[in-house]
Amino acid sequence: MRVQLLTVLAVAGALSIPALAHHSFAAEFDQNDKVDVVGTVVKVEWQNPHAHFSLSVKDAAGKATVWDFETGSPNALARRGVTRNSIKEGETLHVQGYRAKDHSFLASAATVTFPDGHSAFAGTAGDGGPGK
Amino acid sequence: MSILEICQWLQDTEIGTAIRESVWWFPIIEGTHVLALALSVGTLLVMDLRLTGLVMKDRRVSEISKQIVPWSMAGFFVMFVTGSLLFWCQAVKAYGSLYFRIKVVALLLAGLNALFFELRTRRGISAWDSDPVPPLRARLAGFAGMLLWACVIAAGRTMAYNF
Repeated sequence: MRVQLLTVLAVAGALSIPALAHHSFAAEFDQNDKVDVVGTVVKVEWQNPHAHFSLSVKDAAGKATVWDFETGSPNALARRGVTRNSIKEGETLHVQGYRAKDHSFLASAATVTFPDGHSAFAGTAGDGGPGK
Repeated sequence: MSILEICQWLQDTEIGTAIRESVWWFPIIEGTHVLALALSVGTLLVMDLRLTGLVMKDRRVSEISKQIVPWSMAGFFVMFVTGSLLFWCQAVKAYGSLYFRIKVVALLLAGLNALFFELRTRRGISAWDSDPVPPLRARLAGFAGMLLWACVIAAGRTMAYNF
């Protein structure tokens, strides 16, 4: 009986490993490292499981840096009114997000403000990321 | 043509692109993949636990196998089809993922384990069919099956975090 119980626990433990790791936001991004930039869209990758877009951001000296922003899935974005035609190359966007823990120019996009002034939450909802 | 080029060609096909960029297909396929996993490995676990002599000891192994394994196979078929579609739409990333490679190796080993059991161990089943605890080689097949499927699931889930 004891052996049975131990085996059940061992199997349950082994199977729950992936469940324990369920925090893709926290695994990749730092919610204390905020990014707030305005730049020109240079690339849009509308794809599952996460869409991406790249922004060319100029600093005060005029030097451009290309930031890669990760967003939610096309389905999550669609439900917030963001479709594949919402983000266009050449457009200027204001993006607030959270930088990757490896300090590369990758960030999770939280709020995207479009040229017409309306904004949308672009992040991964319910994934452990900070609020909308 | 290298494997990488084949992967690139595959995901650039019309179907690959359609799934990758879809609003609904991808989550439906992915959800079905996970549900089929529950059916397939969930039932397989019952079989493996019987083989290790831990559950339903008063039932013949062949009786459980007859009732359970068709469900495992049906689940595996759906899982394989949906998994292939997921690979199809993100083949380059999958090919470059260490976890995907671990998953494929673990999957092949799980297949070999099952094949060895079917072709060799099971041949002499009449001698131990009713035994509460089957012989060592059958118990090992059960343990190996559970361990390998745990590896497949863990690697598959970890792979998705790097997408």
